[in-house]
Amino acid sequence: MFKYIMKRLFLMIPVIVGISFILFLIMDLTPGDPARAILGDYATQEQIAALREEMGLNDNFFVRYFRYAVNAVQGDFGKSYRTSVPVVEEIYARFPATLQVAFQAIMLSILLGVPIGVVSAVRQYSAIDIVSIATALIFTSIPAFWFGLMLILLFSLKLGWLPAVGADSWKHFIMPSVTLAAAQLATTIRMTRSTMLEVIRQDYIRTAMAKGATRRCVIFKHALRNALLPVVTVLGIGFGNLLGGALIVESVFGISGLGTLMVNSVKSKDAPMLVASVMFAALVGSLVNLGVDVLYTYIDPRVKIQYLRRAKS
Amino acid sequence: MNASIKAATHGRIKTKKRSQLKAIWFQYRKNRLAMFGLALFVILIFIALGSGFFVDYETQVIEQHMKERLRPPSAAHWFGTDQYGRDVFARVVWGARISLFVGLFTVGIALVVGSLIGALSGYYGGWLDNFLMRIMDVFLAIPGTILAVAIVGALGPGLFNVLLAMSIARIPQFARIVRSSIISIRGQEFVEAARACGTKDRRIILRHIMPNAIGPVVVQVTLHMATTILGVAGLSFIGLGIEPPVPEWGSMLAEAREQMRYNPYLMFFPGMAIMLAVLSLNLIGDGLRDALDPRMKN
Amino acid sequence: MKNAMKFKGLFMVCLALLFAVTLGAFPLFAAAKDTLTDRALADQKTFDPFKTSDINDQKLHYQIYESLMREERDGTLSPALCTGYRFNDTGDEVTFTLREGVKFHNGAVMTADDVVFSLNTAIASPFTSKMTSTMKEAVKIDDKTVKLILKHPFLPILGCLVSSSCSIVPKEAYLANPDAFAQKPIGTGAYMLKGVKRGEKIDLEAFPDYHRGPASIKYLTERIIPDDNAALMALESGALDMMNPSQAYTDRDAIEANPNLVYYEAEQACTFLIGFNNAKGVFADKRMRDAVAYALDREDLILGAVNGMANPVEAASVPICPQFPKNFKGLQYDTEKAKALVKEAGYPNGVTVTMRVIGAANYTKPAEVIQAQLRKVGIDMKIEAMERGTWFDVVYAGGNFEITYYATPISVADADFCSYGYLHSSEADGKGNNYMSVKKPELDKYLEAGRMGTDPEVRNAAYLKVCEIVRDESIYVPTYTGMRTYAAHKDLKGLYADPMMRYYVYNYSW
Repeated sequence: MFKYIMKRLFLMIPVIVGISFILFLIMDLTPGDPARAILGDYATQEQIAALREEMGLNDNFFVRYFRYAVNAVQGDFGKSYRTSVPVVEEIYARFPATLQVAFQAIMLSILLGVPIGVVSAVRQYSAIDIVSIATALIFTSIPAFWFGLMLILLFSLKLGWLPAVGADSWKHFIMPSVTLAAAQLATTIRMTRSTMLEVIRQDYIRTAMAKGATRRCVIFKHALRNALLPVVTVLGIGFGNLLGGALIVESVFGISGLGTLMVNSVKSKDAPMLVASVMFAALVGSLVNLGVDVLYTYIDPRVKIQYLRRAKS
Repeated sequence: MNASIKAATHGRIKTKKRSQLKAIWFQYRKNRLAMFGLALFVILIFIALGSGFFVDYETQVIEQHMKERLRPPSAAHWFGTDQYGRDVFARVVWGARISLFVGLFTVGIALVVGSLIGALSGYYGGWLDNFLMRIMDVFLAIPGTILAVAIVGALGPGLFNVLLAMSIARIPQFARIVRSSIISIRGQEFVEAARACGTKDRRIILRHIMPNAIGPVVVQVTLHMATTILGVAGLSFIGLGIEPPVPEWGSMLAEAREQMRYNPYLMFFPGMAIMLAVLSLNLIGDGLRDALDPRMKN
Repeated sequence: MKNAMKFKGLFMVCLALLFAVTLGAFPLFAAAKDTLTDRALADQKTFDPFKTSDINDQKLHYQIYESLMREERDGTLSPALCTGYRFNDTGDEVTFTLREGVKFHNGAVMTADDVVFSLNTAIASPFTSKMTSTMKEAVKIDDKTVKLILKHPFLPILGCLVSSSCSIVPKEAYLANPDAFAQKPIGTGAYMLKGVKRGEKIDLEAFPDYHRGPASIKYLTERIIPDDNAALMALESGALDMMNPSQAYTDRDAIEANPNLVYYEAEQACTFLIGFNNAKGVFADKRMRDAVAYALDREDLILGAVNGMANPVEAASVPICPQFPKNFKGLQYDTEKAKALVKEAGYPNGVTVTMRVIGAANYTKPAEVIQAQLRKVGIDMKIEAMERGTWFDVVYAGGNFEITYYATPISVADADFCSYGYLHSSEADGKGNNYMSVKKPELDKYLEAGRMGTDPEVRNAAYLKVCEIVRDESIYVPTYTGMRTYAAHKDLKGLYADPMMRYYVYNYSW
């Protein structure tokens, strides 16, 4: 197992390097001059030329990338062009809010999605099944930012129950989490439902039924155990999606998390900030995925054998 | 003789395909939700194609009438008017054209490029597979929205650039799906038979493997069209999408945002439009998935 | 009985005590409100006054730092860190007598060296050039006298010295580490920085040794709320005490209807304008510039762009300037004339142009209305919204544009600041602010007369001429002056709306 984890961690390195390279390249193609961003609106051409020289911006792209990479390996990810704050500091300050929203959204989608998915599967093609699937699909189809604004309209403006923006108390996190969870819910329901359907048709379930176990006992003891798998999958896939989705939800609810940081850095051509924050998001996403895969092996022994075999080969 | 074999094979595949399609349609038709989605989508296409007949782009969609700004919904303006006095109904109707075009085009590019990459890497395997898939991994590790935002940042906003950015963000996903279907088909007997006959690689991929890998791809196409429409609306919402005065639903929402407190109807209609379009595609995709999945057959 | 008396006495004492406490509690309670929570649009980019020209950053600089001069509510200037000043006879040198015993937040006493260093740093910085471009250098005369030498006689110089761009900083602390100083500023102002929580808030605390006595409001918190809707909701719920700035032009009615809030507004210190590239492209042709001027319907523009909250401006000046010509008429709205001019300029079938603007609602929304108005006269205008820095690179410094929408922001109420830089030929070709490439010797003459003039009447006449030339040549088309708006809780006293968004929390009280 340890060997497997190490291998996975090792495989993350090229991905992270690739991300930094691609984003560095994209940012290089983006119009706009970092020297102007630093010197301000009214700097003269000479002042800008001088700073460009000093920052080494006139060097070849590969030279600059290499320099960045060497510094990054030593833990220096540079300073923001816009605020001249070290990017690591900024990311560190903003990550908790994003993490909290994402985590709560996942919990919410699991708590609601799994029971609905199970019921839906057990009573396939019943009214409950159709209604729950339809509802789930409607939620996936609503643009997150629109849903968020509608929630604000209702709960903050009309009813005045919840604060519209900010990240000060648990109340502030309700609407953002619900908004994010809404999109995730359908996936959870669908996955739970289809796995359950598959499991219900398995021989061992039939055997259990034949042996005279009650329906409830069969579902909770035998089938639901297997439904845990999609839950874990949702955890993994969901997290990556949520980091992306957070971008829009954060801008709606005025949470200054990683998402708004990324959008702002793109808008202001803040290359060091963007590259570092996306690398960080990807790293977190990959680590969560790895955690999920490891968790799998505990839930489903079949998977473990697969991994061990693969790790050996 | 060779030609006659070819013709014979062709005929057989065709008949088989038709019956397969029939079977899928038979399965699909049983699914009431999916049928509802299909009906919705057909209506939407009708609206998009017919929008030129209902509304006049110059005078109704983009011309401003300040004297009539911010009128709530009425008989004259079914969905009210926006802050520039433009008829929201006309704009929402015209927006269907934009959104569907964007969805189709984006997924089209992503599908073609993604399938190509997926097919190459699935069929040949080895270092090529490794190389291409590592690149795809890198793209997949960047959240799609962020990637699109960065690319739009580099290219600048505008319809074409948004299309491009959204397709690039979707290529890896198609590449993955196509690759995995191809790997599962590659080893099957009919492919080996074709290879034994001396058929060229390109022909094997295009004629023998792709048609059999198409099922899951079609499902993904519909689902991705749905997410693309959502994604483009999101980009427009944060100001990086399609530029005004083009009546894209997302940019209509972005414009309505500052009025949301005082004229909430401005947010309601474009939002509903996006939801219905995306819902119809999701229902179709879901229905197709069920219809194609043999396990779901009773 | 005795017991009862005792009890009664005790009861009376208790009652008296309760009474006293209740009475005392009122002033106590009122005094307990010693914090002010304000809204910030975004994180503070820097606390270094010489490294920004962004008024949103400068807002806090006015609390932390002070300059030699200060602007009072009625617009008059009074000495701040000096006690007096004297112009020489030619008007190109000002000598300041420094205020004694002024302390910085770190306890150090302000010296002439600090003042000389601060002014010279401001003169050298590209960020502050708009305020310092007429200054040559500052020199120390003795321990309490500093002389500021100008490049030429310049009457509005004292107005420049009000700006936070000319803040006084402690030389040693600044030089020790400028980067660190930008995060942990030290000034002589009424508030000192206590802490920054990125993306959330900035905390300031009253400086106990402030030379005018400590501020009445002890704690100042800036909450970072980028969204206008959100900020208004926070204000209504009491999470904010004031909302400065507020840019949502739709909110005025809601704020005025709320009994707990007071709405403040003042005309902005800038005129928005349609700018042309006068040197090349479609609009090098005067007929095309005239066509745009005739096609412009200011009333509709103001409705569509800022919800009606702006005053139309037809003169190439800013209304708060004393030289602003009242009742000045520009070219009047006439679509037929505009259409004819487009045809005459050689575009019988219409013409396609691109407007490059900064991608912020201030500029994109009016651009959208102008787009619709120009469409009616045969000009199909595309809008290219750019990131701010890119726009400054491409349009402002590079001159690569056909038409744009920008403004003439000024920090001193004098027509020189909204004319000279934008129109004088010496500032063209990337050398200054003349991004529209205006090169007219006649115009230069009046601009120079206005700048160096020492007689207000002569200056007024010169700037009227400038307005006339800009109109007759359609060098640019002035559109409107917007509103600086903000809102605050009704109990907060001492506020007023300032055209330049300068405000001093020191003057506020609960």
